[in-house]
Amino acid sequence: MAQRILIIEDDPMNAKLFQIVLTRKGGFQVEVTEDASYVLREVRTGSVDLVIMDISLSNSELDGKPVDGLEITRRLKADPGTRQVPVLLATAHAMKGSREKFLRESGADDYISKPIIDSGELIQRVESLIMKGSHVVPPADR
Amino acid sequence: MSITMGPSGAGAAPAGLGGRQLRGATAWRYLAGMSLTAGLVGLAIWGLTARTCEQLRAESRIKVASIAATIAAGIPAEEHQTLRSREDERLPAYQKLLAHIVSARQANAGVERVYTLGRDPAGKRWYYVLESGVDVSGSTRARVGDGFNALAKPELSGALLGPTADRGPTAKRSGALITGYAPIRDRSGGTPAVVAVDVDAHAALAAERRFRAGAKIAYAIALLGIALAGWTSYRRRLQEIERARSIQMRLSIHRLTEVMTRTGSEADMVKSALEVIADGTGYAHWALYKRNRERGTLELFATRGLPEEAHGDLVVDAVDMAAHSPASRAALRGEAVIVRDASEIPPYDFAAGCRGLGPDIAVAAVPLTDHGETTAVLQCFAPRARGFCPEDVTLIRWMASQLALGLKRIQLELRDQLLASYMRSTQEILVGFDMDGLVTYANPTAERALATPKNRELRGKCVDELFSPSEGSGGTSFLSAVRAAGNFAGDVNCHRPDGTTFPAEVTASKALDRDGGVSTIVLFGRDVTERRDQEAEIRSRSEQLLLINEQLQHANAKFASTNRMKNEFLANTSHELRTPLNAVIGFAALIEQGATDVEEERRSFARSIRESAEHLLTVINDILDVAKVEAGRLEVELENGDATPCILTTVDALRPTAVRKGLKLSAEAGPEPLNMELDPARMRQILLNLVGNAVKFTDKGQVRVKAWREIEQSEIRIAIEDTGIGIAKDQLPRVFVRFSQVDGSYKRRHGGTGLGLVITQSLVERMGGRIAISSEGLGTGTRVTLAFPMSPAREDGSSGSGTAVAGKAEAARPREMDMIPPKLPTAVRRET
Repeated sequence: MAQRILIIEDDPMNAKLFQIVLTRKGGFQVEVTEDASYVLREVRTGSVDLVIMDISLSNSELDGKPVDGLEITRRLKADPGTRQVPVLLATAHAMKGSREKFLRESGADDYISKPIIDSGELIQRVESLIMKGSHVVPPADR
Repeated sequence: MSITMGPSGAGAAPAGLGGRQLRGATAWRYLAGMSLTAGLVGLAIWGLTARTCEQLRAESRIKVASIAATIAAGIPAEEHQTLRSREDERLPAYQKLLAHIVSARQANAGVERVYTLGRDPAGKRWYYVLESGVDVSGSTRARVGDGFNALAKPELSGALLGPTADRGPTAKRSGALITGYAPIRDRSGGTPAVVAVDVDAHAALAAERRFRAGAKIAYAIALLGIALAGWTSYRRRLQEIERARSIQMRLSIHRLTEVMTRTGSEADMVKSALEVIADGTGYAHWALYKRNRERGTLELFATRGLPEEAHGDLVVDAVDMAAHSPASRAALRGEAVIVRDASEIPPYDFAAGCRGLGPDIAVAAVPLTDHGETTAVLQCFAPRARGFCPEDVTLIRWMASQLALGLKRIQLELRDQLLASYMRSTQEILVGFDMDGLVTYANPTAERALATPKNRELRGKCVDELFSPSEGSGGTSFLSAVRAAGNFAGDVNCHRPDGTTFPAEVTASKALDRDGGVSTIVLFGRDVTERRDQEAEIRSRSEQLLLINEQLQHANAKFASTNRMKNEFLANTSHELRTPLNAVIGFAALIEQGATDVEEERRSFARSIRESAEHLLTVINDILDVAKVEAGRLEVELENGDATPCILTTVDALRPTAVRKGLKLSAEAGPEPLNMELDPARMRQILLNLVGNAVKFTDKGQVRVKAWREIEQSEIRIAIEDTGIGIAKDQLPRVFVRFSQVDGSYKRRHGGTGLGLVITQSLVERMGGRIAISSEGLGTGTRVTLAFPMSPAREDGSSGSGTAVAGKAEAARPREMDMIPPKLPTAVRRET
């Protein structure tokens, strides 16, 4: 069974692109959403192998308040039931120092900046993260 | 102390210097004088007595001699010569001659015995011839020719020359007889015999004794007189001495006082005073020590009668319990210390080899006190033999107290001089005035400041003429202010007689006199004209500096904020560019790599590329617009026209989005044409941005656009209201700031660069309008109002679509542009 990747992305074009690339080239099962609470719930079920997280989110909310990708990642990493699932930040915020800043602030496992020139690299990073995540902390219910 | 001058009785001790010694010496002198006088008087009386007795005897002798001579005259020498021996007693001559002498004896009272003595021709032997009878002693009568011891009668030889007598009775001789002799002369003038007459001398002797007794009594009386006279004189002399001494003391006291009051240095004063004291007391050797309160020691200040080399011997030590030198002990105890023998104090070894001081000395140390506190010690050295009697000590103490007064006076004088010089030389205005406000003292500075050459005198003026409280006094005068509060500290205006004034800062306070009462108020102050000017200048400069500082801070903050916002803007711009680029690159790669063979899908990828690129273009245009706003080169081409079409087309353009979000989007305008100077494209851009935002930030409810004419302000108003998330009050001021987003975080990015409002505001302003944004806070919706100057309607009437019936409700419309727009009776409504 193909690994399941959850993508949080507000830009429809980019969402579409992620879906096509990861499905066609990587052979992953991909789901795109902007619903933050859904993400938290879904990852908790253990059915998600990797989360690709955009940072700037226009329409995502938690508890009635707008949230960004960093906040969702923090929640995932704070919860023992979800923290073992790797999170890859994929964002167009790519100023100098952004990578370190975002990783530190959110606790995410990796960072890739947009535009992604080489989709092969994306797939490679995703696979590597999934491998690492399953080795280090095997999901309890699998 | 008091100086006793009164008559000094035997018991009362006369006061004064060396009284005892002087009295002793005088007494001895008087005693010697009196003894001498008594001796002389005694001698005189004795001499007188002896002479008188001699005279008496001489008279007796003459009388006896004359008796003898008378008897001798009655005896014929030739007859008498015949009688030479006992045999001759038978001769008649003998009988005759015997009868003669017996009768002669009887004839003269007092004659005890008459006898004659014959002399042999050789003259070597005397012999009895006749004898009147037995004398009282009862001895036997001598017989003619009996030998007579002539050696026992030296007078006999004298009797040969004439009548004479012996000296009469003496102590050696028994009986009280005086014997007279007289020669019995013959015709040839020879003296062959002598008549001797023994006369009873008892009476003469008694007279003599009586005289001598009288003389003794007289001598005794004389002695008594001498003693009385001597005592009286002695007492008078003593009184004289006392008087002289008291005069001398008074004189020395007077001189001391005079020295004390003389102005001069302290050292000179002390030097003169010691001279006077030495003179007045008779003691020659003095030292004065001054107490050093800080060090707790006595220090030698001056000496008198002591050579320089003796100074080292004037040992003094600390004034404490262990003090052993007389001066230190006196200072410690505060009373006179008398040491009769200085060698009794082992460490005190004053080897005074000075004139007048023997090897053994006595020391008197007397403290000089001021209000019970020892300030100095006066020390006197004396030969031990003389020592110090109580009167001396008293006098020294008195002198010391005078000296203390003098020292104090000179100190006070120096202090007064110092104070006076302070007052004279200080740059402070110093004015003293009494309780009636009359000036009693003004120092030269005060006179310079407050008086004029014409009107120089300040004394006697009222302080209210000179000073008035500068402000906040409620019209009360300076004097009443001082009286009310008891003092005054603050600013006053000073008035010169010529009417000019100057500001001064003064303090006035009561000057307590000795009894704690208040009779004077003293005022200190200074002219603060210059300082006020300086202060004003400083104040204005500091205000300037503050202003500059504020501006700098403001500029700095603005710079920092601008810088931060620029960085933010750059980050956001980068993000906004990268996001569509990701899609462009990604889809292009998919096509390139032949990710799909399906033609339809390939087209979809290409469409995605195009849409993303278009979005990219929008972003770029926005950025360019902002750059133009920044550079002030936002191009606006104004023409007179109706804004209504712009409003309607914009709302139409946004309707699909609103429909997708399930929002109600409405526009109300007219009915009159909204004529104004406008650039239709820019107007559309403005509205697109504002209405777009409203739609973007509203998830449910509605977005309403209203436009109307505000006749009174001659303005076209356009309001965009939504029921969206609103803006927090504290964020409102930031919405028009360039490069800023309402929230600095990443979570509320609803697309766009956050530049929309900035560009919009700039465009509105370029069209001569204003923009206002209001919100009651998060979740309460937002309302944006635009106001543009109204321009007259075009004469051709082609005011565009949407014009209809003219309303009459203008007058009722609210003036504030933030107010809710009026309900229009007729309006062009386009609703979803």
